[in-house]
Amino acid sequence: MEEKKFYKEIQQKIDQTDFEPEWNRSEVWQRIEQGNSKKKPLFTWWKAAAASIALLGVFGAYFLKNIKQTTDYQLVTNNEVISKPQAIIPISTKLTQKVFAKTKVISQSFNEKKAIGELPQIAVEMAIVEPKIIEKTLTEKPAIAVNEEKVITPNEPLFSEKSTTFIANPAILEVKIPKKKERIAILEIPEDDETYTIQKKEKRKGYAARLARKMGKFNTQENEELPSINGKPNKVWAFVKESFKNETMVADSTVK
Amino acid sequence: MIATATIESLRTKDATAQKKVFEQYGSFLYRVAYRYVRDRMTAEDLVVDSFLKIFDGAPNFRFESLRSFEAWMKKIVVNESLMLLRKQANFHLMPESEAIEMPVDETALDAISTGEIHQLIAELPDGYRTIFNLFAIEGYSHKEIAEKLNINEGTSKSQLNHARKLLQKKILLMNRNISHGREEIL
Repeated sequence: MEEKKFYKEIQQKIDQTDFEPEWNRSEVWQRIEQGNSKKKPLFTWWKAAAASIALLGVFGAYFLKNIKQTTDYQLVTNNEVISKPQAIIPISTKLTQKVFAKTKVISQSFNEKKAIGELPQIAVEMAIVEPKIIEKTLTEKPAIAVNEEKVITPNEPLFSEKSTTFIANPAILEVKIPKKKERIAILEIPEDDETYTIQKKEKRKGYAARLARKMGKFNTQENEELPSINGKPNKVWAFVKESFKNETMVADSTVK
Repeated sequence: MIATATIESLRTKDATAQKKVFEQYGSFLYRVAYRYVRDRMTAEDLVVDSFLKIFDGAPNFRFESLRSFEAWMKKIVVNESLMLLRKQANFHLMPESEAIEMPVDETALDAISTGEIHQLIAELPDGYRTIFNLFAIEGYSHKEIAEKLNINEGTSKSQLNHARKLLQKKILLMNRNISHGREEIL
C-alpha cells in the first residue's frame, strides 16, 4: 500500500470511529462550570507544610512527655541505687535519714546556673554516704533538698555542707516507686575459703525413696560429693549472712 | 446534530448552550486529546482547558458552518495538546526506529477495529505519535508541523517515516495474532 493511501485509510478509520475511551464526563463538566482549568492537586505545598507542622507538634509533645517521664523514672532509679547499699551498710542509712529529717525537699531545675555552681558542695556531702553513687548521680538530674532552717539569699550558696544532699522528690517516689518487694541478701566473704567447704547435701530423691527413708527401711545417706560447676571445685566463696525482703528495711531512704 | 442557534447562543455565554455544546462535542474533543497524550487524566485536563478557551473565544468566532466550528474546536484541542507535549517531549531527540518497511495491504487494515488503531497509534513514542497525528490525521503539512513543534521539516519527514513503518509493523503483528486466534477457534 502506498504511503498516501495508508495515511488516508488511517484517517478515514479514525474519523469514522465510534471508539470512545473512558472518561469522567460529569467531573469534566463540573470543572468547566467552575472555570477551574486545572485539577487541584490533593496536597498543595501549604497543606503539606501545615500537616508537617502539626505532625512535628504532636511528636514533639509526645517526646517531651516521654522525656519527662524518663527523668522521673531516672530519679526513682537513682534513689533505689542509693537505697540498696544503704540497706546493707547501716551507717550510711542512719546518716542519710538524719539529714533528711531536717530537710525540706524542693524541686529545682538542674539547668539553673545556681544549682550547677553548687554541685561540688553536693559531691562533698554525698561522699560521706557513698562516693561511687554520687559520681553517677551528679551526671543525672535529681531533685535537690536543702535545709528548711536555712534562709537562702541570692548571694549565698544554695547548698550547705551540713544539710544538702541528693534525694529524690518524695512526691514522685510515692507514685513512681514500684510496689515490688525486693529481697536483699547480705553476703559474707570468708577469709580462708578452705574452711568453708560445703556440707554434703542430701540429694533429693523421689517420693518413694523419701517415704522409704522416713520409714527407716533404707539408709539413703549417700557418700557423694556435690558436682563441680564448670570444672571449678564446689567450694563456697561467700555465705548469705542475712536475707530479707525490703519491706522490713526501708528501701527508699527518703521514707522516714 | 447541534442547532446553529445554540452555537450563536455561545456568544452570550449562555450556560444551557455551553452545556449542549459540551454534550455534543465533549467525547469528540476528548478523543482528539487522548490521541495525543494517551493519558486519561491529562486528556481530561486538556478538554477542560480547551472548552474554557472555546467558550471564551466563542464571541469572537465567526460562524460559517458546523464543519468550520468543529474544525475550530479541534484546532484548539490540538494546540493545547501540543503546548503540553512541547513541555514534555523533546522532538529533536526522538529515537530512530529500527523498523523496516513492511507494506500493509487494505485487507490487513480492514481486519483491525478503530479502537485497535487508536491503541496502536497510542503505543507509538511521543514524537512519532505527535507527528503522525498532525500529518496523517489532522492533515497538517510538514512545514506547519515544523513550525508548531519548532523542528526542521526534514526531521518531521523522517520522524513521520519512522512512525509509519512502526505502525505498519504493529498492524501486521496484530493482524497475524488475529488470524492465529481465528485458526485456533476453528
